[in-house]
Amino acid sequence: MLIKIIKLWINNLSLFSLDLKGIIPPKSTAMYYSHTIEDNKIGLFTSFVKSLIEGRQEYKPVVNNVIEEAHALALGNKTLFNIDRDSYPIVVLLEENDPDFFKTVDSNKADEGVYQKVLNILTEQKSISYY
Amino acid sequence: MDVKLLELNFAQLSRAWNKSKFNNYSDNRKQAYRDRLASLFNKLQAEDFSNLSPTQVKDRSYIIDFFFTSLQFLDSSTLNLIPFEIVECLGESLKEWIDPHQDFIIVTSLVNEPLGFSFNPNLAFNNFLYTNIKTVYNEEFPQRLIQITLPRFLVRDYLANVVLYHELGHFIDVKYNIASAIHNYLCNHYFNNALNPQDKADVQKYFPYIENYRTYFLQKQLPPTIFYHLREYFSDIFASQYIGECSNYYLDYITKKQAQHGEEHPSTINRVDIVNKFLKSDTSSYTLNLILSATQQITNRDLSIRYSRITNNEFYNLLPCVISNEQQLHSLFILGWETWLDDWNKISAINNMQFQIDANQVYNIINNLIEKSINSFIVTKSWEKANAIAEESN
Repeated sequence: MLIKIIKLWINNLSLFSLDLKGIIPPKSTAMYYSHTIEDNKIGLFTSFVKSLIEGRQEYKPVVNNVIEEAHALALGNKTLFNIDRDSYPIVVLLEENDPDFFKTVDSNKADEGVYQKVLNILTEQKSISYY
Repeated sequence: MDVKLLELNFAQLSRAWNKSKFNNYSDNRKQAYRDRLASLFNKLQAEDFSNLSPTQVKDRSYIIDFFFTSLQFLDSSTLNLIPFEIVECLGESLKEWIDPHQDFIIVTSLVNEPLGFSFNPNLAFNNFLYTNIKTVYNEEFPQRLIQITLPRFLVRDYLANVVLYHELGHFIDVKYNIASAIHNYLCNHYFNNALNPQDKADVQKYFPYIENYRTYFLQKQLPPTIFYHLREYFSDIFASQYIGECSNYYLDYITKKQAQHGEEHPSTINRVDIVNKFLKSDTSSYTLNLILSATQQITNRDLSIRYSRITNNEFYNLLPCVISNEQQLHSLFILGWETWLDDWNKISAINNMQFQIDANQVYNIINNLIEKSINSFIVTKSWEKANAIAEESN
């Protein structure tokens, strides 16, 4: 009886008879892969800054928020552990590239010169900074 | 970017959308998401791309990327394809790490790669995407898709699927940028000689190459290896909150107990070691303590043991386990692994079997029983919820 039940379970429920040894590749390179979104965020934000410079004011709040976070980080009013998490890679990238500039910048009075400076940092950067 | 290439991209999207727009989904939220995509598609279709500036072309290309990624996962999450049981377990863990007002839909994509486990956070945690869509087309997506990819033929393998808890760790790391922040903090302190000799030695244990990177640090050209390794350590610890050392069993095997680190992964020995320290509440490691304290500061949540053991292992009696709460739900995986690693003759003996049970049978039994246990928990919970609603309305 039990054998029948087990066989039934096996027949009904197993999708594959799997030999794990047969499917494991020699290296674990594919395992624990995680998609990164930093490039995507930086690319989109660069596009926002360009749009703002081209005159589309609707991008001003989102750009200014990032500049404000970089300012707070440069002054030490915020730390790596409490700056905005969504814009983190951009904020850190900007602040690390020119901390003195971001110490003095006022996002409320940001003009095209400030946005151009931000754009230069974003477009000069060839890869994401790891420090 | 050339307008013609954007038009090509949109033509590709149109073809994909024609196939996907009639999909049926198991829940109304996916249906609602699909309807929003339909509205976005109409706006893309109505626009004359030829008058757009290069920046505007780029904005649209990001939107088409978003659309394609949404379709990729929605197509695999139709009524008969979604692996409900594992999604339920991951959903319970996820709830503990996101704010209650955030509305996420877990969708899955099945791939042919044998180890193709991953979470894609791009649609969930990239607010710039939604700012772009709202600004360009005035469309809002209140629900965010969380995309899980898993190997097609391991979809109901609950032993292998413990890996998904590690992937969830990467997902949470990306949401909060935990490893990035720890990386900057750690490198600053290490290379500026701000650590005492004991802490420095601990850092050198988990990042044995770090001293060679001193010059790169001074030149501000630090390679990403330390950052990548921190991501793995964090995700390993994150997973072990829910599944104990089960992820280590699998990792140990597939990496052949790798003693050397690679560019993206620490040595298996170090990964297993840091997890074991965490599970034993060993507070002697500076690196582990830094990961724990930074996670608390950034997320307001503690990395801690978040499973509770099921007292009766019914698997030996060939019965599903009765799960009382979410913490026990996660420990089903631990039970499954313990049963797999145990002497299978016990199953034969307890059930008076007149034959030796083999690996394929045990494999199927364990997976079947874990799935049934999760199912039973889902049904009971739904029943209790329905009863509570009925009582309230009476």
